[in-house]
Amino acid sequence: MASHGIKDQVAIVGMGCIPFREHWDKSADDMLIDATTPAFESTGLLAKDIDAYWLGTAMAGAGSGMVLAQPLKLKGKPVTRVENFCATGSEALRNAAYALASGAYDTVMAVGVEKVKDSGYQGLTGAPAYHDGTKRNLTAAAMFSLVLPSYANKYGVDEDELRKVVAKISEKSHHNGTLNSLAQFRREMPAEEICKLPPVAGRLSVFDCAGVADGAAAAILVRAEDAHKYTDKPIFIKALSFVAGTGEGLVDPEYDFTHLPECEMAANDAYEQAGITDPRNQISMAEVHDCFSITELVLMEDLGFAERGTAWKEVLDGTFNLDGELPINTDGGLKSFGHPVGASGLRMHYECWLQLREEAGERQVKNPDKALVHNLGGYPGEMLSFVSILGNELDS
Amino acid sequence: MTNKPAKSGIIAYGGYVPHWYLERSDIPPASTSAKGSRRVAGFDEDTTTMGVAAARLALSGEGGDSKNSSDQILSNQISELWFSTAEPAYLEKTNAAIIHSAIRLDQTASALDFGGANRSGIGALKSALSSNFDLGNRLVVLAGLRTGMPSSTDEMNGGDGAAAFLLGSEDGPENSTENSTENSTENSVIATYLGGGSATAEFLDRWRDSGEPHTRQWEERFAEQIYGELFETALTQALKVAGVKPEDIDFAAITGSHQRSVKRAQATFKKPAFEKSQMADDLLEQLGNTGAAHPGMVLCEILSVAEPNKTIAVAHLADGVEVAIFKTTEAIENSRRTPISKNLEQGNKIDYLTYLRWRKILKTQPPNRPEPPRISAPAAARQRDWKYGFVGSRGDKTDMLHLPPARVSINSDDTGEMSVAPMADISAKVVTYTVDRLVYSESPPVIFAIINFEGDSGRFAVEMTDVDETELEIGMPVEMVFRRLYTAEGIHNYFYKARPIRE
Repeated sequence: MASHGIKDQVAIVGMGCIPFREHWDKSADDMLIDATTPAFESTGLLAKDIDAYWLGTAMAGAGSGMVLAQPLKLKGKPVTRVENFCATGSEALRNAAYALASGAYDTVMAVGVEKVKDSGYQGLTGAPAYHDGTKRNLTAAAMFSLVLPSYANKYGVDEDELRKVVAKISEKSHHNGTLNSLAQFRREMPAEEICKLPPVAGRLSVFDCAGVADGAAAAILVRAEDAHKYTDKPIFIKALSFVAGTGEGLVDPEYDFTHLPECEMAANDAYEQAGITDPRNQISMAEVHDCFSITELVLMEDLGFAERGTAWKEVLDGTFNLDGELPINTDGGLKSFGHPVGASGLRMHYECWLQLREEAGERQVKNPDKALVHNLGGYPGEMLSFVSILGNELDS
Repeated sequence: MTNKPAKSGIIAYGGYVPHWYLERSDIPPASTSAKGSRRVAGFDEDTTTMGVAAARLALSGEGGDSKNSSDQILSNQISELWFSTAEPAYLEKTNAAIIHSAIRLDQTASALDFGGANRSGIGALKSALSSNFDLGNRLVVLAGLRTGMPSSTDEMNGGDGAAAFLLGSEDGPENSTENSTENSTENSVIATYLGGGSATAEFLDRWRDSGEPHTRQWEERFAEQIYGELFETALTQALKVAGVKPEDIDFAAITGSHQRSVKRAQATFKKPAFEKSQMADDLLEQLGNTGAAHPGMVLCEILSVAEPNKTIAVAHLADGVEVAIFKTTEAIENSRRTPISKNLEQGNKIDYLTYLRWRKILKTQPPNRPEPPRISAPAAARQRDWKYGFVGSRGDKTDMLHLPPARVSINSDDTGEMSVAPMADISAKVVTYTVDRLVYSESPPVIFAIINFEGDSGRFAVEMTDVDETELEIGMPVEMVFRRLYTAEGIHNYFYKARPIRE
C-alpha cells in the first residue's frame, strides 16, 4: 500500500477566480458562470470541449452535479459533486486530476462555489443531519481557540505574548490582502489594534478569524503532455494528498492540542510524492488554511516550515511575510478573502497559479518554482487535511 | 393494619439543590429587610434533571457505603420508579422514563409520574411506603421548580430542588435469593416507616389553570381554619396507626404551600405533650419552598443528622394534610448523606435579570447563530444508553475509551468486540478549555472543556455548567451531570455536561 501520486502527469492550463465578496446581487449560478468563463477563454476551450466536470460545494443547491450542469448548460457531461468540509474545493481538483491521470478523459474542469451570505447568520452554518442531540454545539473559533493556551503552555511562551504573535499573522495577511483586488478586506490591520479587540472565543478576537464571503473559482486540467496546446505557462501537479481523520484527538487522552496530526500526515505524504526533503527551502511560497490566526501558527510546524515550538519566533522574525524567507498566504489568505467553503481550495490554487507564472503583480515572490496548497476541515482533534504541491517546470 | 414480616422503609436518600442562588434582597422592589436566598435551577435544569441528580445521590455510595458496585446492586433491585412534581417538563410523556434511563434501571422496572398537584409528592412517597416490596425496591423522586410572577411572594419564597428515596423492606426482594450472590445483598433500612395519616376536604386555596405559568391563591386567611382542623385529624390518625405517642416524637417537619397554616401546625409540636420534639430545619431561608419536593427535602435534612432510634413525623399541607411517621435504625450511621443545609453553604449567586432570563420570563437577544434543530427520536432511542446513561465503549485489548461508544476502536490493536463503559459516575479533570461567545445558547457564553477521566482512562469534549468563567482552571476536577441542553419544537434535549467538583 502506498500513495504513488501522479507527479508531473497532469497540468493546470487555465484558471478563473472571482472577487470574494458579500455578493448580495449574485447567485451561485452567477458565480459559477463568472468563475469558469475566464478559464475557458484563456485556454480557448468551450464548455462542450471539457470531457468531465467536478463541482466542489458544501451548500449550493440540492446535493447533485446539476448545480453546475444547469447554469453552464453542460449537455451530456458527467458532473461529479464532491464535499469534504473546508477542503471541498481542493477535493474537486484532486479527483479531476486523478480522472485525467487514469486516461478516462483528456480535458477536465474543477469548479468550487459557495453562496454563504444568503443564510442570514454570522459565520458559517452547516446543515446538521438528523441526530440524537448529543453532538457538541460549538463554533469553529472556539475549537481552534483551544490551541492557543495549550501551545503557550507546552513551549513556555507567555500567553499574552502568543496572543500578539497570532495578531501579527493576521496583520501580515491583511497587508497581503491590500495588494489583491480579489480580496474582500483590503485594509491594513495592525497587530496592536487586533489585540485591543474583545475576544469572541477563548483569546481570539474577530480579526483572528477568517471572514465570511461568497466566492467561486475554477481550473481546467489536461495531461502534462498536452499542456502546451493551451498555455505557454502550464502549472504541473507534483503531489496531491488527503487525510480524513478518525477523530482520535477527542478520544486519545494524550492529544495536547498543540499540533494538527492530520495536516502533518497529509504534508508528509505530499512531500514523498513530490520528492521534497527540505520543505522550508524547497517550497517557494504556500497558501495555507488560515481559518484562524492560531491555526496558521501551528501549521508552520505541521507542514515542516519551522521546528516544533519555534514558529512563533519565526512569525516575529518575519519569515512568512511577503518579503520573508518563505512567504505564506501571499494573496491575503482566508483572513482577507473570507471562506466560501467550496471555493477556497481552488482560490488558493489560483494564487499559486499566478505566483508560479509570475503574474502576481505587487505580490510576486522572487523566482518561485514550487508552491504548496494546504486545506483543512473540521477541528483540532477531529480534522481532515489536503496538501498539494505545484511546480512551473517538469522535474524529470 | 400492616402485618409485615420485616421492617420496611427508607434504604437510602438523596437531596439535590441547584448550584445557583438568588438573594431575596435582589428581588424588586429591592428591600434590605428581605432575608436569605432562594435556590434557582440552572438554565439547563428542570424537574426531571434535578430528579436525576437526586436519584443519583440516593443511589451513590456517598457517606459511608463503599463506592464499589453497590450502586448497581441498588439499581438492579428497583422494580418501580415513581416521580412526582407539580412542574413537569413534559405533560402526556412520562418524565419518570427519562430518569429511569439516566440511572440505567432494568427494563422490567416500571416508571410512573405522579403529577400535577403539590400534594402528589408526599402522596407518592406514602403510597410507595405502604405497599409491599415483594417485587423489588421502589425509588421515589420528588422535584420542585417554583417560579411565581416577578416580584411575587411565590418568587421570593419559592425554591428549586429534588429529593429521592430508595424504599424497600429488610428482606429485600422476594426473588433476590434466586439471583447471583452478588445481587442478593439484604437491604439495610435506615428509617422504618411506622405509618401515616391523611385528611382531605375540598376547598380553594391555590390553583393554576393548565397552561398558565404561575399559581394564584385565595385570600390566605380563608384556608387557615380548614388546614388547622385537617392537620389535627391527620396527625391523630398517624400517631394511632404508627403506635406512637406524642412524647415519642423527636423530629417534626411541617411543610406546605400555605405558610400561615404551616406555622400554626408547627406550634402544635411546641405543646407540652410533644415534650421531646424539635422542629427540623425547614430550609426555607436558604433554599426556599420547593413545593411538592419540600417534605422530601426536609426529611433528607433530618435523616442526615438524626441519630438511631429517633422518631420523625413529616406532615405536608396542600389541599389536605398527609402525615408520615418514621423511626431511624442503627443502620442510619452507615449511610449518611451530606446535609442539604451544608450544600446550601456553597453556590454562585446570580442577579435578578439572569434569573428572569433563565426562567424565560425575560427574553434577551440571542447570538445571531442558528438555533439548534429538534433531535431525532429514532436516533435518540438507538443511542439511549449513551444519551441518557453516558455509557461509552472500550477496546478489548487497549481499554481505549470511546465516547460516544464506537463499534470499531481507534486503536488497531483492539480486534474484538468493544466492552460497555458506564462513565456517568467517573470524575475527570479539565485538560484545556475555552469560552465561546458566538455560539447559540440559552445562556451565553458557552464554556467548553476537554476533560480526561480519572487516571487518563479516557477523554471527552464537553460543555461545562454550574461554573463562572472566571473560576476555570486547567486541572480542575469535574463530574458529569445530566442536563437539558436545549428545547426545540417542544422536545427537550437531555444529555450530560461537566461541572466542577466542589468540596
